[in-house]
Amino acid sequence: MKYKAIAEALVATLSDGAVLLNLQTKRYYSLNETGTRIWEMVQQTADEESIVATLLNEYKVEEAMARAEVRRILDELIEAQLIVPA
Amino acid sequence: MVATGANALLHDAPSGARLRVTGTRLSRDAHYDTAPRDARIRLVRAGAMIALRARGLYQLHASAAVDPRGIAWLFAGPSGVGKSTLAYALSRQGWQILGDDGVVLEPTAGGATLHAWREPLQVSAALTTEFPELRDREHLENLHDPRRRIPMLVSTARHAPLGAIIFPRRAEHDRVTAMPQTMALAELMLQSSQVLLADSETPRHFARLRDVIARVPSFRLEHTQKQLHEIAHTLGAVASV
Repeated sequence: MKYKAIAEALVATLSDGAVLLNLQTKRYYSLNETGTRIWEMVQQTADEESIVATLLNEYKVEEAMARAEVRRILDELIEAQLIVPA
Repeated sequence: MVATGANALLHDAPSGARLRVTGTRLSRDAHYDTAPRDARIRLVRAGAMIALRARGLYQLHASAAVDPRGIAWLFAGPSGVGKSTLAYALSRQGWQILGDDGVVLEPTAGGATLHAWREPLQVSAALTTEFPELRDREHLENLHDPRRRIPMLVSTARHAPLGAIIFPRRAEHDRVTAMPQTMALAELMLQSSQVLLADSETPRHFARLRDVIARVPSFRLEHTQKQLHEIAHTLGAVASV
């Protein structure tokens, strides 16, 4: 499944991750390095499967763990109203 | 308040008074002239923050002091974490004060410059044991202030390059630790609340705060009363690392 970031989301990338600011809800969220990479891929309209594949390629991680982590972060971004289904 | 970028119509709800901000200009609007003085001060203060923001200058809820080398240290955080008290403690040790409850941040190519935000430095009357000189000024205590603060005369500076950002927190121990940048930006944003206006200036405001955090080191200072006498030494140790 594909997702896209809402237009009202601002992102600031830093050495240890990123801070997202949702201008609709006026709430902010912090992402770690992996979460920031997932956010970048969502912005490139990558689907969930290709995000998992990219993480398996870039990090030493088991597939089940990568899949669970991608799902967890996507769920958090959906709950934060920062991404919606594309 | 209704705001669109550098143009805003500020509305003080208790008095109904309004103040218009157009670019960097403030102008009176409905009910302003007949509003109580404190309402007009609130409006002008908010208007000044928005007008500064349009010029790339950001008001922060923070205190700041300049060390003997001429480097500014910013103390950011919510009310009650010790910003004013630590700034006053530093002033007693020869540092100059840029602001007690507010300063103006100007992001620069190499980091940032801090500018003074002129309001009297106020110290809690409960600290007379630590700062005996407060007794001489107890008659100036603001009786309407639940925090029982006394305005103090201190040596001030107009501006200085920012060397470090300190996020104080009262604790039962004294410890300084490096802050992760994401945590530092999140905490700094909360003390620069105009970033949440969600207007055309917000992306630039957010990006400039990010740039400052990326270029200037941030630290968490967990502190006890002991720091009221040792803070200059503590920060000196941080600066030498």
